[in-house]
Amino acid sequence: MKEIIRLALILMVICAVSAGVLAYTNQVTSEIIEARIRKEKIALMQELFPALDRYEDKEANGRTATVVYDAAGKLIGILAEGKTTGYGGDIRFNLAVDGEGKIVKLAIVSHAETAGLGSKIEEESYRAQFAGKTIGDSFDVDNISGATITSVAMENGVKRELEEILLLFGEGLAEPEPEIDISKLPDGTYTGEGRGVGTIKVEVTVAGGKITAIKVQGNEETPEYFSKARQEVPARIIEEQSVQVDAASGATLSSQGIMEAVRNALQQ
Amino acid sequence: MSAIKELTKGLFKENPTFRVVLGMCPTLAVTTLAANGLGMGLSTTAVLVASNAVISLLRKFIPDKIRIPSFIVIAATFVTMVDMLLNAYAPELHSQLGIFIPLIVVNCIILGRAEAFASKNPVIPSILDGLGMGLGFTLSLTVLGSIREILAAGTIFGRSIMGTGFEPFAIFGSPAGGFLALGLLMALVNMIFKKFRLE
Amino acid sequence: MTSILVIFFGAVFVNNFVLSRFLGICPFLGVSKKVETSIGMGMAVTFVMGLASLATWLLEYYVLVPFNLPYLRTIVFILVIAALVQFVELVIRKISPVLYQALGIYLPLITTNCAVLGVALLNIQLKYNLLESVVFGVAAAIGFTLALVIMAGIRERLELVFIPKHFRGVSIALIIAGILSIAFMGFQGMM
Repeated sequence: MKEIIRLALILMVICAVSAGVLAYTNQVTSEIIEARIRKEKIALMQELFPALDRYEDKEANGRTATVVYDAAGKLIGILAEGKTTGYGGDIRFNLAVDGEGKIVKLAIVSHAETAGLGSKIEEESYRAQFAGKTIGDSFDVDNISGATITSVAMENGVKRELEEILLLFGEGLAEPEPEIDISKLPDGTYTGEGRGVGTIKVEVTVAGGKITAIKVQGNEETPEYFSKARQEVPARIIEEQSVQVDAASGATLSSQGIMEAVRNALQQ
Repeated sequence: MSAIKELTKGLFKENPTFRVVLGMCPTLAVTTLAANGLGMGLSTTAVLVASNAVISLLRKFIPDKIRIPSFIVIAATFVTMVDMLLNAYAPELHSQLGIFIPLIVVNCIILGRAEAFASKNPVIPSILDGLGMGLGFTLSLTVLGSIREILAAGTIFGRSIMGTGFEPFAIFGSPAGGFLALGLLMALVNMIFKKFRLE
Repeated sequence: MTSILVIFFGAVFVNNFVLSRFLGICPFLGVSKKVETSIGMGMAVTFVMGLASLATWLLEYYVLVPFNLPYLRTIVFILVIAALVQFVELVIRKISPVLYQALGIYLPLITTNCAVLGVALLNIQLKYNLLESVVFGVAAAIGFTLALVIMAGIRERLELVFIPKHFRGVSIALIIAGILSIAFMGFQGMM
């Protein structure tokens, strides 16, 4: 019994000393780490938004963002994180948006894309293509050859996240998309475009406040997936009388393209 | 004379990577770039030297029965210190090495040297042993990191050396390439050792 | 529910702990020489990794975070894992001597298996909740076992063939692991 107490005491002394040493190191280094992170953040914001006067960390809808103001109190920039699902898993990125809702800088935080192919999203020449874009612009940038899924995921993901960030933190930079009231639409044929792998065109016929027919045309889609999306999605839209329906499984991109095209057609 | 021997045995004859085959996880995981291999090697060396020194100092004070937990606590203390220091002074390396910094604590080299050497020898030889083993580990990681970086990106320590016509072998940047490069390198080292009868 | 399934299959196949995350390489190279022992080792590791994920998650969110001590994480986790391994060894010896005979010799090796500490740290880094952590821990261990058993099967056959002198031992094992890793790359993009 005495032996066990002695062993326990020795082990406790070792643990106590080690905890003490670590507490001290932590105290010294944590200040340096915090100061560095703060300094880096401020330096980055000053570089991106030279008129920076003050900034605020905000939270809404489970997302956080840093909103930057100039001396007059006008919003001149937003820094926020976004993510999209690529080929190998989540791609996390940081977006810097200016006071007009345009992307100033896109930076990749982490990804699990194929080395040498999808990993090229890290390269400056690829990321720079997104600069200056805002909602309403086409996000169709030059794809990385050999990494179509990664490229399309980036285009759709950056666009979607930009919209959400502006909606949540943009203080009036973006309006929520109006709900389409199909029953009030005048009879006629509407045309619109959406993006799957390439451009998808649709012709929507409305009669008596209902969508009665949808014609889909797209030349750049992968045929076997596209034919599936083309069969299932318009049928669902007509059945549910809604532009947001379930995608055809295995043909998500083409399905989303069709839905977007229908929405665009009816919004005009 | 024996001091030099303690120091150099880890570099070649008992090289932890190629001869004793210890610490394979960080060896494979962080060697996509030469600089990461070097950083990981030096971090491990720092932990190894410090833990060897302390364990050797305390070797008469620590009872045999609680030897292993004590060694683990001592090693983990230094690993955490290295983790915090890297985060403070070399943040880029810190984020590149990620969870493989705390995992230094389960690197068999650390506990292996504590058990086999530091717990039985005086302080100075223990420090030299740790330094030698650590530098041997660093050497292996840097060589492997350089080879993979040259093949996968055409650069070494971030500097381009292969000219513009070089088409990189992307596979060497991926996990599979890590296994293949180390396997081939190990066969090469075996051949060199056999040829010059170094064993 | 889907996210749990994604975590599970992701850890077993897409980001296999051994072949793509490089965790648990030492036992992978050292133990995987016979299929039978590999299965034994895999079972022991699965058991410990599930328990370790549970225990370290509770410690992180009920002790380390409330008391503002995240810098003690490495030390606390490794001690918990070491204690857990001892505890599991004791329990198995008491309850089932047969199982103890089968697993006993592998248990002490598990403490220094970096897959165990690795999974505990990844659970925190990836911000998994308790259920996700345990699923991730068990799935990672199953992935580890899978790699170990495949490797052992191949190595049993390698005994019978000619291997160039300098490639014998670890060298050929690493090259096989590389080829397996290429095969597992095929699981990428499937989820």
